[in-house]
Amino acid sequence: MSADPRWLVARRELTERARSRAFQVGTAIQIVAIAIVIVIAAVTGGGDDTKTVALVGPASQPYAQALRAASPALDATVTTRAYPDRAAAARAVEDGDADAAVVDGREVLVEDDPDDTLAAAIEATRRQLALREALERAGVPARELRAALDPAPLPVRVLEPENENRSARQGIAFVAVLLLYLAIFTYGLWVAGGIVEEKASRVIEVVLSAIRPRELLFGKIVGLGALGLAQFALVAAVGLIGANVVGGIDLPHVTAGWVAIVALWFLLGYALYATVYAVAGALVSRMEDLQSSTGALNMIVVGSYILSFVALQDPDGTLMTVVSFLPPSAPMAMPARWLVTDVPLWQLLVAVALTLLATAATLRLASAVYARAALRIGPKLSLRGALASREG
Amino acid sequence: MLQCRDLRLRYGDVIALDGLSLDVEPGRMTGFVGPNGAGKTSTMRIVLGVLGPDSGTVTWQGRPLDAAARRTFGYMPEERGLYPKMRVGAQLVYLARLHGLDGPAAARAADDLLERLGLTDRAGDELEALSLGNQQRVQLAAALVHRPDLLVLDEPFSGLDPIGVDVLAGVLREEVERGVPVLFSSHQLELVERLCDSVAIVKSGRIVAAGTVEALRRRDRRRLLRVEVDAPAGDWLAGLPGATAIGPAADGGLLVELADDADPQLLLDRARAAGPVTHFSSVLPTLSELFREVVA
Repeated sequence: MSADPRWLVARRELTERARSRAFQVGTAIQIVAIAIVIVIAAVTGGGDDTKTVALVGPASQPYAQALRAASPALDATVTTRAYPDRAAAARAVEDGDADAAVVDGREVLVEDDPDDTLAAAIEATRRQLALREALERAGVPARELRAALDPAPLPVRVLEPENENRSARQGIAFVAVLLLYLAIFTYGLWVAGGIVEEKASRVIEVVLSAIRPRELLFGKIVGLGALGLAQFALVAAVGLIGANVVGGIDLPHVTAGWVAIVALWFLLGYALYATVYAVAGALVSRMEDLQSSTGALNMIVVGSYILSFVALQDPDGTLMTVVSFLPPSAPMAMPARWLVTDVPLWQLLVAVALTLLATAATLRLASAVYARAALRIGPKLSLRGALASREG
Repeated sequence: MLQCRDLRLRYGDVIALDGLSLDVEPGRMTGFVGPNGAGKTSTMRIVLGVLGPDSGTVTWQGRPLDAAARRTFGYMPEERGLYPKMRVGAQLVYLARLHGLDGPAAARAADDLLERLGLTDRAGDELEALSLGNQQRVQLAAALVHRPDLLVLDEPFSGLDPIGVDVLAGVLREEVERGVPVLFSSHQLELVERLCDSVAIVKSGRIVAAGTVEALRRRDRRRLLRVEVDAPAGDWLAGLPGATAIGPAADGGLLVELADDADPQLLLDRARAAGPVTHFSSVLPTLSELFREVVA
């Protein structure tokens, strides 16, 4: 029994591109870039930080307990260590063995940043110590002194719990928009390039003597999309797993639902744009002409990305709502909106439906153009000219 | 048997095919000749279904041609090309499968053909790494790999060196002996005359002459004879009714045209009277001469 030609085409597209040096190098570069980002983030930022304060002289000793108590406010664990003199403490700070030094209760040393939060904490500690001393001198009883300096904490009631990590979610949404944009752009160009390649090498006529243009187009889009999704997933997985292993980044909890919504819109966005990129590819016969035929389309992709990016600054705004529905920008804007705010389910479904409708329309256009232009070798065709010409 | 009937095709004001009808019979090699732009490539593309005619029909084994039947055809387009970066073996397996073979059969067919063409050790190489001559062999293999029921080749001999021509001619002959109808176009008329059982001459989108090469040559209205006589006088022919001297023949002697009612025996008598006759034969036009005559 012979196989469905669409499946054969899809498999060829996937395996041949996966074999290509360009694909392998591109994937390696992406993984290395992700790894570098993770390592930099782990080295510079830090989750469970330890801050060491060097203390010199007896006058500095009272700082020890107060600074350790300030750990939660600094989002770090503060330790203290005694040093014999100012020079030794300064060396420790310069070498990075200590983050700051308190010399004789009179001077604070930090390496390069006078606005260091640790320095501020030391200043606050100094004020607290001075206050305690003054109150003790004034004869305030120990119990009242404790109550004044160490009051019971006020209960905190969270009114809009979501806003608590909204900025983190917004950050993830920005990354998601960027990744979706890059995916649509990269994999769309794969489709356009793959179509031109067949015209440029003239193999197209051999292939079309065996199968129909529609089958070739469909198989090509599906095969390249599957490989694109695999590459996208691989790079994303390396990023997420790497971030967790290194543990350097404060990743808000990435839920399966978020991954699913990004994957869904990856597929929808790819399908929509791949069909249009197929049209752009079918109109030219040489790789050199591809730039001019994809130019307008690239502008739409970049424009949609910028629009989604700008709109995401105000996730509840009208602009964001509108661009999350429009098919050209929905594949980037809707998942971004979904990650940041509560989007009613019907809105998601409507956006999906609109994008699917637009894809059905572009697929029809692509099939019509491809059937007419696939064997037209020569200078760039106009869309109108291609549609007006004879099929086959 | 493949039959094209009354194919018509126009591009704007240009008429590419103007009622072209053509038969390609099994077990025969059919040559398709005609000036550039006469409609050879358009006809072949219509047969392969990559182009649709404005009107006319193509039937295969008596039935209208459909996609399933076309999948069993083998085609070498005028514009050669395969996937440059795909490995030769994988490429042939892929094309065989597109034509309907299953995986194992496609692999076997590709191996067999590569061996037949002497390319077994290049199966793992990318096509673009092969020499031009070997790339042409792979192109032929691409048309043959699925053991087609009909072979259509557009200018298959162009650009081949004499050894390549012999290899291709041998392969095509094998296919014909297998009972496959073979149609190929060519401008190399001596080659067509040597290889083909039938010839179709196309001009301005119509067939102007078709049939076996022999019948076409005999179809010529003029009767030409070549006579070699050891005659002292050159004008021995003078005064014979119905005979006209055309001039010296290319391979020696005199070329004589006889009128329809003239008797060749009288010509022979006259020649023998002039001197000893060393050669007396009827001359058929070559395909090239015929071609120039009908497309002029």
